[in-house]
Amino acid sequence: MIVAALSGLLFFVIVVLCARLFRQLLVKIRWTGSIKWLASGYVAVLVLVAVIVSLAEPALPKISAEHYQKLQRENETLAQQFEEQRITTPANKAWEQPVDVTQPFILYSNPDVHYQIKHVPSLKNTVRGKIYYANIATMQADMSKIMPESVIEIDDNFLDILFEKHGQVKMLTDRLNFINEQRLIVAQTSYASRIYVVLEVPTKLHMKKR
Amino acid sequence: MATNYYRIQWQQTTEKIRGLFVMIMIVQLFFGFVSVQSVFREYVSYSIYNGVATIMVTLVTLSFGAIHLAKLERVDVFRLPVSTKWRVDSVMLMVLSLYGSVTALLVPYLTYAVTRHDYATFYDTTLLTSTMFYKNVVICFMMFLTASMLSYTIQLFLAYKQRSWLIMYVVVIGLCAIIYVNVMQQLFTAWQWLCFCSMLLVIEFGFLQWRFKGGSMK
Repeated sequence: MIVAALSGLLFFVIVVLCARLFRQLLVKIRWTGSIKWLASGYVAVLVLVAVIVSLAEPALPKISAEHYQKLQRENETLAQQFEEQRITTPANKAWEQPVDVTQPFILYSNPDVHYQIKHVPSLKNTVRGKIYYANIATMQADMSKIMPESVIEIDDNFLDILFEKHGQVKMLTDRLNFINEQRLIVAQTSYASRIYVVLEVPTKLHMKKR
Repeated sequence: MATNYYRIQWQQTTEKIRGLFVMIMIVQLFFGFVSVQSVFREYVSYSIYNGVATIMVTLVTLSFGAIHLAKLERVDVFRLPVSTKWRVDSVMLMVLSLYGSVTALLVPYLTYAVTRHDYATFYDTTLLTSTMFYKNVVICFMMFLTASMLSYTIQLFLAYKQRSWLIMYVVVIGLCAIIYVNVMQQLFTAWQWLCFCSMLLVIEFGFLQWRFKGGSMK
């Protein structure tokens, strides 16, 4: 109790001292003098940091060779489980799935928003999907190409959608999603949370929001 | 030689509001570094919230600074015409809004410099080459200017003891905002934010021009 009161008092004293120092600082700074340089220097430093961050390549995680091999083995085990049909997905790691192109291709909908891809001639009647083990997904999938222009959140998943100028629409979620009757279904398996599915759909799709 | 009243008023304004530049900087850095701790959490969705936090605290700081700017000094022997005052002050608020919007959007990128490398693949690091940044600067500038001009105008009405005009002003602003929100019926897009802000700015500057023209008020 006493300790709490003392620490509270100490905190109060420190806050008061800081406020007085801050006030003195503000009084001493003049527009013609340091404040102009302080403000523009702050902006310059921020721009510099932003340029450096922008120029830096997104680096892949550094892991040891043994760790990588362990992850690789887990990946193979997972693929084997897919082949033995222990997980209810299409059998192979990559598959093609029929899509009825005459129907609107609904990506995601909830009571508020409803995204769909309008019909375009380039939309073929198949969609290619690929499964990655979660830890290895960042290494195998080239995710530098799928930086989100707009991010739509589905619960704790991410659905990243790029628009025309990037030329490609990919969906990345941390659950097992696949297209069934033109809708995204989240499969409820115990393996689901460890799996990424990257679906590749044709380029130059027009997104429509309604 | 004719006296340039605007120049004198500019000196007075800068003398009064110069601390706000430092205040904005300190507030932004504080909130920027507070959000660094979220780097070490499990998930990586902070790049959006981070920006929103700095934008919000900058907006609040600017609004309070504008109230301070509109207050009249008790012992002011040489007071310039109020029309000169609000014109110069609004220019100063524009400068502050531009400064605040650029820095508020850039501060989150300080945290990107210290994040773990594998997280860097998840969010957009192509900051200055993407048009989104410049769009956001424009929208933020308009929002900051609208909010600060709103509190500035209210305080100016209070300072010149025009209660009835203040009530009318608040009612007009409130009605326009409510009607606009009701017409849109959804979360605003960028263009709708711009329209909203420019509508409010027209009302604010219109009222200022209407009520505070010429030398004295009474």
